[in-house]
Amino acid sequence: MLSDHDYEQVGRWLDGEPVALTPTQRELAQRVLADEAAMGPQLDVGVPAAVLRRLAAPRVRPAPRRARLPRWVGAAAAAAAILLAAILWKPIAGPARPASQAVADLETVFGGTDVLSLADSNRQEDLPDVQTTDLTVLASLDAEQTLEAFFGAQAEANGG
Amino acid sequence: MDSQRLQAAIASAQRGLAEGFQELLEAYGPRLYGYFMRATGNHHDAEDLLGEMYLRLVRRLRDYHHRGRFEPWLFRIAANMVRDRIRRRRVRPAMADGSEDQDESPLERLAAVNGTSADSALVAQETQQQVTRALARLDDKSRQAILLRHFGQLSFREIARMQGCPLGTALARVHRGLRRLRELMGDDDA
Repeated sequence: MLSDHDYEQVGRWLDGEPVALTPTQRELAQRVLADEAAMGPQLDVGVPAAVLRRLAAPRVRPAPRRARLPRWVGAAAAAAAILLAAILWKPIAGPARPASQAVADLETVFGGTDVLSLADSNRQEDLPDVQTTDLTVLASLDAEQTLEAFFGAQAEANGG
Repeated sequence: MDSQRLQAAIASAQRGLAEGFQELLEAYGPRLYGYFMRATGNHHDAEDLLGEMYLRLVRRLRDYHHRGRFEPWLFRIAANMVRDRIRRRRVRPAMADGSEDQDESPLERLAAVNGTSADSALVAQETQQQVTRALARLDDKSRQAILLRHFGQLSFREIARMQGCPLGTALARVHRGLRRLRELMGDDDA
């Protein structure tokens, strides 16, 4: 009857450890080796080549390499883009005019009426009998009229 | 695969290079496939598990520190996968009835693998099914120990560590399991 110790010793010996075996243990070792030799080939399974191919195919394909251009190509492209933008750029606000003319135009639009200053002076109670809202309405009416006059003049100047 | 080449393949795979994984697959793929096939009893599961194993390898190989033996690490993962697969199914496919590959053509498969005629493929198929049936009649621990020993080429100490048992117990499981297998296979020398 084999003991746990026998199995332990034989196991260590089969693992390659330098263990001195008793005749019984040696016999056990021989039987294990014979069983492994007899059953090994029967346990083997042939793996179909297609299985390994299927497994490898989608995974071993090298990752697509990103096209890398020289640095100067990028710099040249950026410079060309800036140049192109400068050539094609058109100011949205129309033709440039002197600042004084722009101010004059604004005065034409709003008729020189400074609603805010009027309202401000009302807050300071310089004009106790005039309400801010009245002044605003008056100024707005004035501005509307002035706007009509301005856009009419602009239309005539543009020929239409 | 010799130790140096294995180390190089592992290092290459750890750097994410396809060549490294390819080399590991070529070296261990057939053994892993055999292990999965014998543990689950059918080729579909074996192929499926092999594919899953490859993905796990890709994910987990970075954490692996090579200290001379790759198989214990590799086959521990494989054994866990088989355990999970069987647990998920609640039944042991093919192990339950000893049949395998009901939905494919095992004869053609065997003939294709071995390059043999249909007659000899028939004999080989019968043997394969006999082995599957015999394995199904072993207890789980003995079957696992035998398969880890054969396909993983693990030492008894490594099997013992994996199964959480004394070294002598691992040997006893292999020894008694193999004896039983030989009996079931009608081996007169058993």
